[in-house]
Amino acid sequence: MEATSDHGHHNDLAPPSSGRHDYGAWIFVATVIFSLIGIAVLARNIFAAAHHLETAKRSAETVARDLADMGVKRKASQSGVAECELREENGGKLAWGPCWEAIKKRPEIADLVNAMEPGNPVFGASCDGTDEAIGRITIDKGTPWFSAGNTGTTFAPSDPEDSIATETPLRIQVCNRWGEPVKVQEIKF
Amino acid sequence: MDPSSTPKSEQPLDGAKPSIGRRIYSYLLDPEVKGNLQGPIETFVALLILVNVGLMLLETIPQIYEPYAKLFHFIDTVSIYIFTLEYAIRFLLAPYQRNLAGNRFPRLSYAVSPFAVIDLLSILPFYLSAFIALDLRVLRVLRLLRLLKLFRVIIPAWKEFRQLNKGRTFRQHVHAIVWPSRFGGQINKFCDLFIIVWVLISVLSVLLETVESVHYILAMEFAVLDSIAVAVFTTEYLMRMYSCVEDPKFRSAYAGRAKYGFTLGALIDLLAVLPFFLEALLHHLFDLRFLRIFRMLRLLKLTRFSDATKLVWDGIKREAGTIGASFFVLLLVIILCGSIGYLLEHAAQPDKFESIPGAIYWSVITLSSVGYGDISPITPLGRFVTSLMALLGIALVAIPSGILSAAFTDQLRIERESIGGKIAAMMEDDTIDPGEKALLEADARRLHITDLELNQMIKTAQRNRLMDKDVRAEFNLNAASHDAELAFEQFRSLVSQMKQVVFVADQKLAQVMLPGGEATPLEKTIFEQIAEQRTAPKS
Repeated sequence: MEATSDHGHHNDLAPPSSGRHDYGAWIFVATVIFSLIGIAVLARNIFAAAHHLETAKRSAETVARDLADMGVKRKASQSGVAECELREENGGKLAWGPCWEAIKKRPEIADLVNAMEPGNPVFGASCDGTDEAIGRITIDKGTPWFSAGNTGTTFAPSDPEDSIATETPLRIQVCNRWGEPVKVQEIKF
Repeated sequence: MDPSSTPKSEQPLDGAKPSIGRRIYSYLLDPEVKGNLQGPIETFVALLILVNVGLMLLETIPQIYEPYAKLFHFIDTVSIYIFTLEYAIRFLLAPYQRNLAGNRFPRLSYAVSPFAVIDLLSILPFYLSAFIALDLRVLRVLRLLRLLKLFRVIIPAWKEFRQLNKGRTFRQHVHAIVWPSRFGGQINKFCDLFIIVWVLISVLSVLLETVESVHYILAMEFAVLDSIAVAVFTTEYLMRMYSCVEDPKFRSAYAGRAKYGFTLGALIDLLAVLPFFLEALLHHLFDLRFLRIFRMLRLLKLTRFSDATKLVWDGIKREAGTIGASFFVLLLVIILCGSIGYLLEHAAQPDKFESIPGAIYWSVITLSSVGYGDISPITPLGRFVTSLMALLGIALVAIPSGILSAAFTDQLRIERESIGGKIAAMMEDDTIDPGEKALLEADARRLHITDLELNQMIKTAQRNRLMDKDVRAEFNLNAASHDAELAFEQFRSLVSQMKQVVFVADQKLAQVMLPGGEATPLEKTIFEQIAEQRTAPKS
C-alpha cells in the first residue's frame, strides 16, 4: 500500500485535451448523481425509521406519565382500575398481566393516537430486529437488589405473572431499528 | 500591514498622506492590500454566519432551545450588531472601493449592489421584528438569508478559480477543486474547509450518539447529519477517484485509478462511507451494529489536511527498520518475562498464572508500568523478578518512543534543509519569481519556518550565489596551473581583493582575526602586513 501524495502539489499535470468529447465527464457526473440519489433513497428509509421511533417515543412518554399517575393513585386506591389497586384484600395476588390489560382498555391508552403519524401505539413484550418492531413500546419490570452495601435495580421484560403487590419500578422503552430498546422513562408504579 | 503593498492607484500623486477614510479602507476592507485585516474579517464573518445557522437549527429543538433561550437571543443580537457594523463600515467606505472610484454617487451605487442588498437582507428582519409583529417561524426562515452573505467570499473565489483554469478540461477543474495544486486557489481551500467541517460534525455526532440523553433528543438530527455527511464524503471520493488520473503517478484511466484506490488516503475515504451503505443495505441479513463505530475512522480523513502527519509518516517509514528492531526486542523481553513469571508463580497461583499467554498479559502490564494489580506475584523470587522487570520496562518502553521522536525531529530537519537546496536550484537563473516564492512559502508554512527565516535563507542563497559566481569568474585554478602569467594576474587580483576587504572592514576584521581568532599564522601575517601598509606614512 502506498501513501497518497495528498500533501504534495500536483503541478506536473496532464495538458488540457481539446476537441474530443469528454465522455468520462458525463460518466462521472452520472455516477455522482446516481450515488446521491441512492444515498437519498437509503437516507429516506433511515429517516422514516427514525421518525417512526420519535413518534413512538412521544406516545411512550404519554404512557409513562399515565402509568406514573396510576402508580400514585393506586396506592390510595383511587386509580379506578380494580386489577391494579393496592388494597388489603388484593394482598399478594396482584399481577402485572391483568393490571396492564385493564390499563390498556382505559381511554387514556386505548384512544391514544400517535403524535406525528396516524395510528395507535403498538405494545410488545420485547424488541427484535424486524422492521415491524421499530417503534414498539415495551415495559420492563425492575427488581431492586442489595449487595455489599450497594443498591440498584435490574430490569427485565415484564411477565404477566409478575407481582405488583408493592411499589414496582417500571422502565418504558421503545424499540429502534437495530432491535435495541431505547429508554424513555423509569417510573414507580 | 505592508505599506509598500498598497496599490499604486491608491497612493496620492502629490505625496500627501492618504485620507483617514482611505487608510481605514486599506486597513480593513481592501482585498488587494497584503497583510491587512480584510482576510481575518471575512473569515470571522463567515464563521459567525455558520455559527448563526447552527444555532438556527438548534433553536428548532425545544429541549435545547428552551433552557438556553436567553443565550440564543444574546448570540443572535450580538451577531446582528456585528453584521450591522460591517454593513455600515462598508457603506461609509464605499467611495474608496476601487470598482466605485469615479462614481458620482458611490454610496448609493454600493447600497444597490448585490452584495450590499444581501448584507441588508441578512439584518433587516431583526430590525423589522421590532416594529412589525413577525411570526417566529417566518423570522427564522428570513434569518437563513444570512447564509447569502457567504457569497461575498464564494463569488470572488469562483471567479479566481475560473481564471486560473481557463482552457482546462472538466476533469482538470475537478482535480483543482479537490487536490492541492496551483490551479485550486481559494476554491480548493474552501473545499478542504468544507470537508474538515463535515468530518468534525460527523465525528461529534458519533460521539454524542453514545450519550443516551443526547441521543434521545437528537436521534433524528443525527440520522440526517449522517446522511448528509455520507453524501458529502461520497461525492468527494468520486471526485478524487475521477480526477486522480491527472496526477502523473495515476495516469492510466483504469490501472491508475485502481492504483489510487489502494492508496491509504483512498482507503480511508472509502471506509468513511462504507459503514453507511453496508448498514443501510445489509442490516436485514447481518447484525452490523459494530460498523457504526467505524464511522470514527472519518477522523483519519483529517490527516490528508495535516502536513505534520506526513512528516511523522515519512519519519516512521525512514526509521521503520530501527523501530521494528526495538519492538522485536520488546516482544522478546515480554515473552521471556511472561515465561519466567509463569515458572515462578504458577505453583503458588495456578488460577492467575495459569498459562504462559496469561502470564504474558501480566508481563505487558508490568513492563509498560501500567500495573493494574489484578495479577501480582506472591513468591519472594517472583517479586524480585517483577521489581527488575519494572525497572527494565522503563528503559525498554522508552526506546521506541525515543526512536519515534528522533525520527520526527530528523525528518523535520531534513525537510528544512531541503528547502535550502530548492532555493539554490531556483537561484540558477539568479532570481526567484513570484511562483517560486509562493512554492517556497507553502513549504515554509508546512515546515513551520517563519517568513523571517525564509527570507534569511533566500538572502544567504543569493549571497552564496554571488560569491560563487565571483570565484568562478575570476579564479580558475586549473587554468592558472598551466599559465604563469595568468597565475600572476590572478594572484595580483586576489591581493587587490584582500586589500579591499581589509580596508573596508579593518577594525571589525581585526577583532575577529587577531585575539584568539580562527585565522592561521599565514592569514594573520598577511592581514597585519596589509594593515601596516595602509597605516604607514606615504613616502
